[in-house]
Amino acid sequence: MTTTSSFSEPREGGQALGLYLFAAVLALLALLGALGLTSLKVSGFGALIVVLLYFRLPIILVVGVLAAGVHALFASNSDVEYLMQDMWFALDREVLLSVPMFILAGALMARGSIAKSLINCMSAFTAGLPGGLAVATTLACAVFAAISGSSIVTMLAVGSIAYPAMIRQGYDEKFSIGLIAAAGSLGIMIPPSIAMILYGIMTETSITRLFTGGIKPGLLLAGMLVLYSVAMNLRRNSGRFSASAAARSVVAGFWALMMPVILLGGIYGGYFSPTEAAAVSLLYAALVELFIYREMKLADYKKVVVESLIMLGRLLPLVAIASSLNTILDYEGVTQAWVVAIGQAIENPVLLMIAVNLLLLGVGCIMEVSSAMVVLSPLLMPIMVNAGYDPVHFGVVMTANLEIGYLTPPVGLNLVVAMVAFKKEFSEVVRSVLPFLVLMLIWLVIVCVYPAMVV
Amino acid sequence: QEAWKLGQVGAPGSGLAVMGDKFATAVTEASGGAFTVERQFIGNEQEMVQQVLRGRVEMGVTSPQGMGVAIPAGTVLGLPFLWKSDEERDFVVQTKVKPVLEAIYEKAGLKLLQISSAGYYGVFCKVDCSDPATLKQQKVRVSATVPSRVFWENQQVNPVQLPVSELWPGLEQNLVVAADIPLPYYVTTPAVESAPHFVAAKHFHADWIYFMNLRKWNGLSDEQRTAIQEKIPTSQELTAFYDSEVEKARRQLVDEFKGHYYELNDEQRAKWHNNIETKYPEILASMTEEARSLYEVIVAAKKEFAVR
Amino acid sequence: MGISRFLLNSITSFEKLLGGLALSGAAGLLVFDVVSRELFGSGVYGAQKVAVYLAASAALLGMTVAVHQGGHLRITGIDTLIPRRLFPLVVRAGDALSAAVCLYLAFYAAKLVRNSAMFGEADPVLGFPIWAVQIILPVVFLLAALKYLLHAFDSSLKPAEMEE
Ligand code: NA
Ligand code: NA
Repeated sequence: MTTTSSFSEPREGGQALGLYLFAAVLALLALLGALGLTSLKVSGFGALIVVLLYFRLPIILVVGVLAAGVHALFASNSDVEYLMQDMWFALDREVLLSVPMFILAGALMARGSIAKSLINCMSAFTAGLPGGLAVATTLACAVFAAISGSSIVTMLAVGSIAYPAMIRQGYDEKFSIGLIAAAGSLGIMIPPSIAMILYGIMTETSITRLFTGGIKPGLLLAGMLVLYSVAMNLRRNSGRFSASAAARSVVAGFWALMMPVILLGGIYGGYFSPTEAAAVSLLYAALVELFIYREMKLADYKKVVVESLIMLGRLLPLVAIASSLNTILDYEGVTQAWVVAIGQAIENPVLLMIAVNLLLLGVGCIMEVSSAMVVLSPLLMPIMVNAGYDPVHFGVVMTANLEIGYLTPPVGLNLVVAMVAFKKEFSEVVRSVLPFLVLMLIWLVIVCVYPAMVV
Repeated sequence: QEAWKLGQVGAPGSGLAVMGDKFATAVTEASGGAFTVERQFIGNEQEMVQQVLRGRVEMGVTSPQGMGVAIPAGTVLGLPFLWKSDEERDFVVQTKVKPVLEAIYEKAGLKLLQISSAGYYGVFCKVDCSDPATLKQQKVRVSATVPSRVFWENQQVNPVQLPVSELWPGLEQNLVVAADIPLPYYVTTPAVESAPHFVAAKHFHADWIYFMNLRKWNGLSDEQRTAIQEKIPTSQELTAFYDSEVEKARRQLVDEFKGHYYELNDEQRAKWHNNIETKYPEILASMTEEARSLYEVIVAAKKEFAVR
Repeated sequence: MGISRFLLNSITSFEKLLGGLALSGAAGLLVFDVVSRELFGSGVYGAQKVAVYLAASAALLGMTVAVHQGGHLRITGIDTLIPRRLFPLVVRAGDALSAAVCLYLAFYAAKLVRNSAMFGEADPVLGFPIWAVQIILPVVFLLAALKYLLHAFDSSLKPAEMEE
């Protein structure tokens, strides 16, 4: 796999600590401030983190020390053992299974011929359209979102194929990363959606209505991303559309094209769950590469497995540590206190909606989507319903807010996934998603203002 | 003043959460101002139990299945169709099982405070399945426990293990056509729309066990311990409250969601029962020695109840 | 080939083998469960749970594989703040620090496992003790610590930061 690696290139100076560290320290200080802690302990701890960074420790270890320190020094009734316990709980979950499966399947398809065939098809069909491949990538994410309830899985599955292709066609790196991270976030807006299931169960709101409510906002965001892709790539020469070339790409890529068909058909036909779909796609990819394309050798398979292993080893421990910090936020009641404060202070429905959105965007920076949903939805929903909002509409608004949280540092899972999958600096990933964040904020306002789109 | 947590799985506003609040308030009052207890939602029962074991969360409440991670013996209470009547269950659990469990909990580092009921499981389906024959060879969601597996195998379904979060979309996409949970939980899920037929099979009973970390318990004064045991809601109070929640859920299902509720007559119930006792040895064989001796206690107590 | 290099390579190869088997095993089990359900009318009891344990172990093994191959992600921007002259020293000290952090985490991971064993925590689906799976947690931190330590003693053993 020829991924451009930022590690092999010479470093340009002046990048300083990067947005990541800055935001992480800010978030930590906000947390400690909210806990009513400042002082020597805090500054000493902050200094330790800076020292670790100066001595070039890997992010995983720095974040590990950060979390261990929060457990040992700041959280009430805690111990570093609980960090390990939380990490274990995070890894020991059925819903996380699809991540390794799609990583493995993605690596297999990328090294083999399936990815190539899919990309050829996408390129042939979008030839002549400015930003055609970007449009195709967005649509692929939207389609994949319809079978996966998770955003990181959507992003991984599509991104591992689309990103190298976009780079090869000369798309801007930043644009490509930002687009894939943003379009990948559709995973929790277009049904099925793990986030909406959690909202529904925690607030006793109909999950079916939430799912239906997410369709139009999801399509709207996809549409906005499509328009943006076209507008940003107006001058890109993407060749001319040729019906015969498109037809040839379909014939040549038949087995590869069957992949999404099997996945969608399997899930909507009731043959397997989204998690199992990941394993099935892996099996299918292996069979096709082994018996039909026959370009891969046994050594290639070994490489694919090791590659996936390392990617998992970079990604999942980070996710596990983040989940421990979320547990602390939950147990300490920090975010809950914010909700109570807002509910008491604001009565005007419009101001309330604005305040709650700001709160959720803030929470989206420091919490992972599922935990934020579980902790905050039962607190916020009654306040909003009291102010006259529909519980389904608010559920979709909340999902949209937390979806944006996938792209906001320091805890933004799509950022972490992009960093690991595309081998980029965190700060670079953050800068890549900025224009898309603006786009998504505009989208959020629309979703808030037009409840008719949802209910 | 210390802030203690009572870990539990019921979503805020649910009957289980209300019961948790009642319990937490009673313990807070009994502490005489030494500490407060607040309900803490923890979505995974086994994780909650592991946290109480270590004292990270002080108290908890869950089913014997949720406790299985630390107290495997208790899972024997999850045998299908274990009870002939609520009266029998009440007698056996409160007078015979509870003392045995108390000792087992203590050995594991936990203090058992109260056992109440979180109702019976029912089966919900996409079509009327009051006769289990309609589910034969059909894909049914089976939870990952041996009693559940054996019960459903006894009905010759095609068992599918799904995490609960994948069950709801799975029902909509016909990945499974039926599953089983207690009625009050059922009415809060999208299953009321995708699988609106609820059959009160009452095959599993969920005991609802309140417990706390033993070190924390031993750290309390004698007065505090006595006060807690006196002030906590009785099993009858908690069970009666939950029964009213079940009735509320039944009305909600029929009136609000236009779903279907099937109470079974003896003949229909016999079909669900399907001589499941003949499978008890298989289930018991998968359990621990301690579970099997607890089962002997239950058998003896049931005989004693029958004589009375 | 020096003994350190041999040690590093053998450990990493072993981790790759184990992790690769775990990952493939998890995938295989999930697929087999689906196939068996659709073709033979009954899935495999406990398949998902075993797959979860295998995938978790694979992720943790992947974490330590990355220490000596490919490397973990770093905030490299700060490198420019380190004086050239001191660079080799900072690199070695950093590896020693990394080893220390891994040992620190290994200690608490071991505490978790010891307590799991002491409390008799058992998997409710499969019945076996949880510590038997959790043990992978302190083991990978220890292996990572060992590798960082070897890197600290001889920085020529340190892999290039990204190999592909
Ligand atoms: Na989705
Ligand atoms: Na975020």
